[in-house]
Amino acid sequence: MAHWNVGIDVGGTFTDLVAINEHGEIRATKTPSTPDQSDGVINALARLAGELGEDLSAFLAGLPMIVHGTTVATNALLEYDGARVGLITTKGFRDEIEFRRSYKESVFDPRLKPPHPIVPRRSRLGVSERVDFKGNVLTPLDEDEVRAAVADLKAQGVTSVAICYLFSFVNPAHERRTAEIVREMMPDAFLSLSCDVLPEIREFERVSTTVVNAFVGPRVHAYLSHLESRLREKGFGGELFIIQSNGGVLSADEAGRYAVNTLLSGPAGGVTAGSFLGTMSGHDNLITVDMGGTSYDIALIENLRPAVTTESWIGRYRIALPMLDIHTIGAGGGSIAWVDSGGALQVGPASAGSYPGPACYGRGGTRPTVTDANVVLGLLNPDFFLGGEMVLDKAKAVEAIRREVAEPLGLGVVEAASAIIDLVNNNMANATRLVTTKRGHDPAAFALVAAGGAGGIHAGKQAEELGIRTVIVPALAPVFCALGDNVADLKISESRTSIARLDQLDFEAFNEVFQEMEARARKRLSEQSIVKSFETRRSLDMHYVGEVHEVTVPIRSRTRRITKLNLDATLNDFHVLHERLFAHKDVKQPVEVLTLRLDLIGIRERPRMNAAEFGEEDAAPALKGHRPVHFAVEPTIVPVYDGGRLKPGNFILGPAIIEQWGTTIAVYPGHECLIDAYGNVIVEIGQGGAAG
Amino acid sequence: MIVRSQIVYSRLCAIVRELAETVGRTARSRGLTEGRRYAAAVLTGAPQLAAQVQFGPEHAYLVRDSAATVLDRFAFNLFDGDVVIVGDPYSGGSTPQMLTVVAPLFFEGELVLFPAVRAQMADLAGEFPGDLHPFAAETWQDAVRFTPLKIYRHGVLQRDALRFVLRNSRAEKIVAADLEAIVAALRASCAALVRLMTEHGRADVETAVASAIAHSRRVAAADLEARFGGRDETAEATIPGAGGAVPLKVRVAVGPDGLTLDLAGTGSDPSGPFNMTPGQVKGYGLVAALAERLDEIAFNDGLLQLVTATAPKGSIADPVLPAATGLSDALTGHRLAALVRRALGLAERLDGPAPAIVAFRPIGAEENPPVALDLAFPLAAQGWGPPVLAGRRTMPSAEEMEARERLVVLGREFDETGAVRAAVRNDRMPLEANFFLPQAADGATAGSFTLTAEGATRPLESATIVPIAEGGLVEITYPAYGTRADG
Repeated sequence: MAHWNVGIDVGGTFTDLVAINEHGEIRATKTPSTPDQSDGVINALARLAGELGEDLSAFLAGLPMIVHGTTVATNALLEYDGARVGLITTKGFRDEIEFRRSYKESVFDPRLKPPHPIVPRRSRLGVSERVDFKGNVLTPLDEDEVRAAVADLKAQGVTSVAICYLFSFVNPAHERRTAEIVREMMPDAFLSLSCDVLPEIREFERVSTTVVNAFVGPRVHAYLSHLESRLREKGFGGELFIIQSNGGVLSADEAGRYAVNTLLSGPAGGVTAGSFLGTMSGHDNLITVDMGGTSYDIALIENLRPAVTTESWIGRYRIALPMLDIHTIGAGGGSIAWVDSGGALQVGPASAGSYPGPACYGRGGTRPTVTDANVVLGLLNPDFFLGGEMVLDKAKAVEAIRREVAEPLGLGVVEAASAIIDLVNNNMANATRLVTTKRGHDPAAFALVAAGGAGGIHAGKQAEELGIRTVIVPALAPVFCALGDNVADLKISESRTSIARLDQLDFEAFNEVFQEMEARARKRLSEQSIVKSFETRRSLDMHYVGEVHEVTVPIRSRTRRITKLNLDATLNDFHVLHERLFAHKDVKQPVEVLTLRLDLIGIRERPRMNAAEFGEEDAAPALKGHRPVHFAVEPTIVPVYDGGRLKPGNFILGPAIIEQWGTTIAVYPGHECLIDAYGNVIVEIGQGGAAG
Repeated sequence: MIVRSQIVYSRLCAIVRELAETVGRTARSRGLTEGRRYAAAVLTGAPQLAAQVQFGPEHAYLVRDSAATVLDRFAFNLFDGDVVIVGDPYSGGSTPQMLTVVAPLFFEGELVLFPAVRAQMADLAGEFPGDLHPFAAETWQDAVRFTPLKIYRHGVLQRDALRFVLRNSRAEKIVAADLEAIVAALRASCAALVRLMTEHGRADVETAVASAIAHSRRVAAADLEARFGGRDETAEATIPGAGGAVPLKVRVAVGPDGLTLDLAGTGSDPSGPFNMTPGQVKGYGLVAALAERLDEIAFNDGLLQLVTATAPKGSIADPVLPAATGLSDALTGHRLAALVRRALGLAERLDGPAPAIVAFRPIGAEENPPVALDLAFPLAAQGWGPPVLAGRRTMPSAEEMEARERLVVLGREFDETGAVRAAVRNDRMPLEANFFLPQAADGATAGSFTLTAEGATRPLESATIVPIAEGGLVEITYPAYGTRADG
């Protein structure tokens, strides 16, 4: 019997599953998501077992592991449906989370509402204690005040307690003692300590991240326990892992403790899959884009490593943990096109969503969307949406575009639809350009990986805009995140603040901090049975003295000990990186280290993927017909291929359309594509752009 | 064509956003990195404002007006690679210590589009380190005046000119680093603008800019007309001038061409620091009228064209040299915005002046970079966060202040009234500081200070060179302009 590894990603609409066995066989399923996400997970597993002709229990009994991407934490935060949180903090600082360092999402709008308070002021209690920046205790912890605070929180019905004291990242003793008292008095409470969650300088960033962990933690913990026990009941004997926001996986138990790490658990899988795809296709530098119904996610992968950020805001709360840098804009198939009061066409950010959805869905929506424009232009086949599971009403799309866009602008319907597509492509290309240029890169040096249902239609045009020569539409594009869940390594990210000028560094202390971080990370990963080997990555957050933003620079060292030689090389790298990012460097300026970072990667056995032999170039056997497509005002009759019947080695000269379940790929005039050995569609964009 | 223009213009806006982002990330002074006291823009050769990021009222008109002064001064003496600075309330500027740095860019031999950054410098001389002089009677007490001055000529650094600028600063290294960061960001923008014009063609780019300006003007004019069409109201208040209360009076009228501000009846205060320049007057008027829409409309010349303002020459709304302007943004702008909102019948307040402190080593030190003790903010009238006119300032981290500056924040919290009470202890070295306590519209002071040193506690009002001994404790109350939206 084959042994399968399973990745399951729960999205807003569908629960996707990808399974790979030791022979390199791949299976993918899609089932509707359910209010209790565990139902969707079980349903997906049951469907796969059925397809394999196995009983669910027997199938689960044979599974060594399941890796799961979940949106439980994200939903809890976005819907403000988390635990009842109390905060114990240094006296005099209980309002930091409300001050938000003055940040307002809209500076000018006096009508902007405040964010939902996930820890209301009455549940934010200060206690007497103070540690200075060197870790010296200036004011001992007043344990009586702590007990009074805990009693108060308990009386308020608080079930989750966040603890965040000033400078606890230097000396965590007061936080740890407070946690002991909380455990004594509230043994069932969920605890979130800032010295564990984010031991870094800057109290607002730390308290916000710690409080969010307390808010979503009990929900995530409960969900994972619930899912694991259901799986066990059904016979699952393997290990359950969760993909984290940093792109690595961790056991469900570990993930539950640091639930804030799972806020990007869903989309992280897609980025990880992009990196895996890069390994398979020989592209080290990739931009992954995922275009769905309402949003467009962009991430950068450099040298097969996804870009990471510590500057995220989710649900209007600051999360300062290292997370995959996934930039999202409101552009998707459901984005609404409209003409503003100045007579300019706009697309989005408002979306028609799934209900009522685009006008062509025929569910009562009357406003034209990107999907409607694609139908009008012939890029989307109204009879083959979701593989034919849904029939689109082209007449309604035409009518919506005519009324809302074409007539107000004095254009024909096709011209108006083209304008909608041009504008949304431009919006997406601009966002992609921003993501790459802010990291000092030229997008033209990257390959574009297009996932999500709508990605394949728009990717070719965006590539032209960005000067990108290669677009990869993965064979598993509709279940791409689940593929990523399947191939992600384990990863623990540790950090410690240690402010020092680089030219005045205490090497002993510096190495000790790295050793302590590594020991802690190894302890956490040592119990994970699936680790084949370890890889340690050390880096420093550095800046010129006075700058408030840091640049994370990897340390080049072959050993565990960091020497002056290593640091000189790192300093040089810092100057180079600073110049690449910001167009200038100053080698005479003193450089300061702020935070030491260590990623411990637990490398898993790579799933085997079978490469097929290349066959004939001729794709004619997969031809399913022809249809008119408007690449310009006048339509072009183009061949339409059945993606499911295309074989490795097939070559298609644009213009053409490839239709497969869950996605449509437009091969534009001047573009050509090849089906690779893994079934991915590789589109090459001619230099100098397209003819059409 | 419309969509093509939109696409080209969106690229131009992206270039300006990147310019602003880079300045914020690479500057050294806290005024720029945390205070966000800068604006970034691209202008046309006219000059018209093509696009701008950070368009608070303190910058709205002044990047363009300062650039216009540069073009006027150098006329036919500008070349590729030049970088020109200007920092003068009477050369298109406003408050002292603010420099506009312009990088003329020639494409096909003509000045088509060029970038500019307007930024607060850490110190540019004046009577005290920093930008806070609560009693300045002449502009030179606030800062040295920089009329247009080339610091790069044909791409070559003019060391004598730069030295002149830097030797007029008590924070030479910080100013040098900030200028270097700004010039590098401007150079990168120039390159991006050349790519844009090469790729799309100069004519298309010019058409796109013209079309965007016309569009912004159309949308904003329609909005003003729809909300306030035909309105003609007058509102007045007073400013605490050096010689007593000074009337600030504004008649606000909205017509098809936009917003007209007539400040007839506004008094003068030639020896106080609250004078505001005509560009500032228009900026506060514009933001006051359009705040609710500013996130939706592209900020360019189309908006600037909508406001006209007149004021008596020599008044606090159109002062004459050498009147000081240092506290115009800190108080007069707030008051004017409130009057315009009142005249337009807008209930939501944008204003909310805040107490301010700038500390420095005892006067006499050659290198003496000032430190702004902006510990918190007044509560906005909306009941959360800082007032709109506080801009994008980032509140400093208490941990960073302690670790870096040895200024120990002992606490900052809301009190029962919604005011924020903050306390900071000086563990650094003996310091001196200037204090500014603004007057609220009702005449009371907005906020309060107390200083505890050597066992004695005393309240403070606006003051200069107040010694803060090592161990000295400053307590600041930031006023509440609304009721806290409690959770």
